[in-house]
Amino acid sequence: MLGYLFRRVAQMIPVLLVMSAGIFVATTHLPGDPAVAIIGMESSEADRARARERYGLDDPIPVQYVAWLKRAVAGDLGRSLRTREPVAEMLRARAPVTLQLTFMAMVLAALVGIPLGVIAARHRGGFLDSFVSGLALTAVAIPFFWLGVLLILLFSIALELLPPSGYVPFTEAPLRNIQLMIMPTITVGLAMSALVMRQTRSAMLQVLGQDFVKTAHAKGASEMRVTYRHALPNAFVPVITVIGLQTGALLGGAIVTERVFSLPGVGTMIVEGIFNRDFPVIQGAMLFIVASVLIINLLTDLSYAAIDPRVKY
Amino acid sequence: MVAVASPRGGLWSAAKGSGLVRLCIGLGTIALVLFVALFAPLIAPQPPDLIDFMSIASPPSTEHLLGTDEAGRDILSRIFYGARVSVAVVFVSVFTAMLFGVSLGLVSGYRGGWVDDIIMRVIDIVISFPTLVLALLIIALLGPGLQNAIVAISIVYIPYFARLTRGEVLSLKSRDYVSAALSTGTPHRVILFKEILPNLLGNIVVYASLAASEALITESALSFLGLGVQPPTPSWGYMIAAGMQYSSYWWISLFPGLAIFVTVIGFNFLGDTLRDAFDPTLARRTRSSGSGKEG
Repeated sequence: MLGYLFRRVAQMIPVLLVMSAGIFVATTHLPGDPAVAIIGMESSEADRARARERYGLDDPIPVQYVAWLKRAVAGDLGRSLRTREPVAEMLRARAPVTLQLTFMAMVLAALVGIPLGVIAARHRGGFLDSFVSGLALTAVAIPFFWLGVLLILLFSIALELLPPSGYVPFTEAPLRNIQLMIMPTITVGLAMSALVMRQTRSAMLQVLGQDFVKTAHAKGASEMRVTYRHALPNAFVPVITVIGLQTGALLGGAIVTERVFSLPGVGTMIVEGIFNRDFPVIQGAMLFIVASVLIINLLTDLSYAAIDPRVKY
Repeated sequence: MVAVASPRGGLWSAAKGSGLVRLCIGLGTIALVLFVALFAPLIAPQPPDLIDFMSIASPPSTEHLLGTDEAGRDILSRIFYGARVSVAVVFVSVFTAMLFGVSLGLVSGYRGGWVDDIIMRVIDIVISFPTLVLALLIIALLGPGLQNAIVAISIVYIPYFARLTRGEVLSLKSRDYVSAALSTGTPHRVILFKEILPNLLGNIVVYASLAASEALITESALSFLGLGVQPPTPSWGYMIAAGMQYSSYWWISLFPGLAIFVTVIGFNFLGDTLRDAFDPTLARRTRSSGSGKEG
């Protein structure tokens, strides 16, 4: 297990290197003179030359990349061109928002998707199955950011039940935090609930047809026991796979959803970075997203062993 | 693009019952969206940017069926014109992604060896970016705008087409009829285009249809963020964002989103039915194990 973990982490490094190079090269090709962006429009040509010298902007791209990488590994992702705030600090403040939203959406998808999938599989071909499958079909077709707007219109404007936007850290006011995160969580997680439901349904259908399920029935185990104790644990691996694979999509969804609910997360950082052509901010935020996806994929793989004792690394 | 080309296994036999209904809904919806996009100037009640000063942000009425937006423009007309943008982005980007992706997949799968290794490693890396994140990165590089949104969405979907094609090619190239063609001295180019390509086209069309629904959501998400189509050109995503600023006027956001939703359902139904038709084993499996589709 430890050996496997080590191998997997070792494999992540080259991938992360290539992806960070991709992000770096992409952002250094942004139009406009970065020296002007750093010291402002009113600077003289001499000032700009000094800035270029100082930030190594005239160096070849590979040299710049290595210098950037060295600083990044040491935790220095540069400063925002606009606010002069260190990018690493911005990330420290904003990452919890995005990660919390993604995590809550994932939990929602599992809590909604797995039971519905089980119900659909148990009532295969019946009314409940068609109903749940129809719901899933609808859920994946709803543009999630539109869903967010509709939730605000319904629960904040019309019913005045939930605050429409804003953010408080969980550590400061847990209840208020959860209250503010309910609608964003549904916005990000609904489509994934549908995917989890479909995967659970088809995995359960396969498991329910197997001999050990018939044996359990023959031994007189109750329907509930057969479904939840015998069959469901055996259907978990493909379900976890879908959850893991979709997490990247969830992060992408979180980026847009943060804009709907004015959440100060990494997504808002990226979008504002794009509008301001603030390349250190884009680089840092993208790097964070990509590293998160890789780590979540790793955790997904590791969770197989915890769920299925037959899986050995 | 999504022409129903005589699939093996028979479209109609596979699309019986609920499948037939789905196919009709799918085809009908997409046809309707295409019609609206093509003939927007003829069927729209008003020009999309005509401002009615007498009814600014007025709710749906007989005069303005879906109401007017915050600037007094007719929402129905803007949805019709917005269809042009969405259809253009979706079709052009999915077609471009298909063209490049299928070519890469063909070369990768058929040629094998180091060419395959290089192409697939690059694709592995591109695929590990979440689609929206990659699209945002490309937009960050190129700047916001319609054309750049098309480029971004095309690039995002190339790897998926390439992977799908490569997998198919790997299985097809070991078939007997390919060996037979090779043994008679048929050139590789002919084998690729006459023997292999026609046999994988079915799956490609199915995937294209499903990719189109995703591409539409990606495009509207970009426009929603203000990074896609730039105003005053009407786009569904941007209309939703604009309506969000005026939350007491619910109709401004509601109807454009509904347009996206209906179009996505159309593409999904089309894709699902085509998949069942092109893959008779799946259709049979699904039918014998009850209704609905797997995974």
